[in-house]
Amino acid sequence: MICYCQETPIETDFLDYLPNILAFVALLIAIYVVILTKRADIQLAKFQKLCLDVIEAKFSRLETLIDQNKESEIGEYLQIITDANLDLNLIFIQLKSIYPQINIDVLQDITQEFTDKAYLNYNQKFYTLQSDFLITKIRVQEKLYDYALYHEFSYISRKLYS
Amino acid sequence: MTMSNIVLDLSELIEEGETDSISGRTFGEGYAKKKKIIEHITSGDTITILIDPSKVKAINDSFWKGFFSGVFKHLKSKDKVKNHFQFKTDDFYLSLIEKNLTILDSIFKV
Repeated sequence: MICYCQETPIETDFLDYLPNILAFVALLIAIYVVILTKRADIQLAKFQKLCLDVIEAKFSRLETLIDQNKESEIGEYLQIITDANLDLNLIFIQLKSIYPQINIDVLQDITQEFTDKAYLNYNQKFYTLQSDFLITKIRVQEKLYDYALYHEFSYISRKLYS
Repeated sequence: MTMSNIVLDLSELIEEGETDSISGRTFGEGYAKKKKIIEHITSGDTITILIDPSKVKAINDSFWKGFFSGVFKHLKSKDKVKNHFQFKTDDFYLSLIEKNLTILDSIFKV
C-alpha cells in the first residue's frame, strides 16, 4: 500500500507568500528610515539657520567691534561690548522659546564671564580681549553643538530604538 | 502711607581716579541692599536712577542683574518694575537698561 503524505493547504499558502511578506516589510522599514533621515536633515537645517547662524552673526559683530578698537584702551569701548553682549543674550532668550531644552543659563554665564573679565582688566596694559573673546565663542559653540548632538540629531536613534 | 521719590545717582559709585565703570553682581546686590530698594518698593515709592554718561563710562549687565534680582523676585515682571523706576540718562544707557530688564524679565517671569 502506498501512502502519500501531503502538506496541508494552509502551510503551502503561507510558505508561498513568505518572501513577498518579507519584501514588503523590508520596503516599509526602508521608507521609514528615509522619512526619519529627511526629518533629521530638516531639523539640522532648522538648527543651523535659527540657532548657529544667528549666534555666529552676533559673535561676528562683537569680533568686528573688538578688532576695530584694538588700538584703543578697552575702557573706551566697554559700553559697546556690553551692548553687543546684551544682544547675544537676547538671542539666547529667543532660542529658549524654540528649543526649550537648551540650557541658556550656561550660555549666559559664559558670556557674562567674558564681560566681567573685560571690566576687571579694562586698564591692564597687557590684557588682550581678543583671546578671551575667542575662548568665549568656542565655549558657547561647543555647548550648542553638544545640545544639537544629544537632543536634536539623536532623533533617528531615539525613534529606531524606542 | 506717604509715597515718595527716591533718587539714586550712580556717579556716587565711581571712585575718582580709580574707575569710571560699574560692574559686578555682588556689587549690585550690595548697592540695592544699602539703598533699601525692596523697602522703598514695598512702601510704594518710586526710584529715579540718574546716570551721568560723562562720569559713568560703562555699566556691566552683571551690576544690573545684582541690583534688580531682588526687585524682580519681588515684582516678577518688567512692567511692574518699570512702574517703580525711572531712569534719567542718555538714550544709549536707556537702551542698555531696557535690554537688561528684558533679559531679567525672562529669567524671573512666573
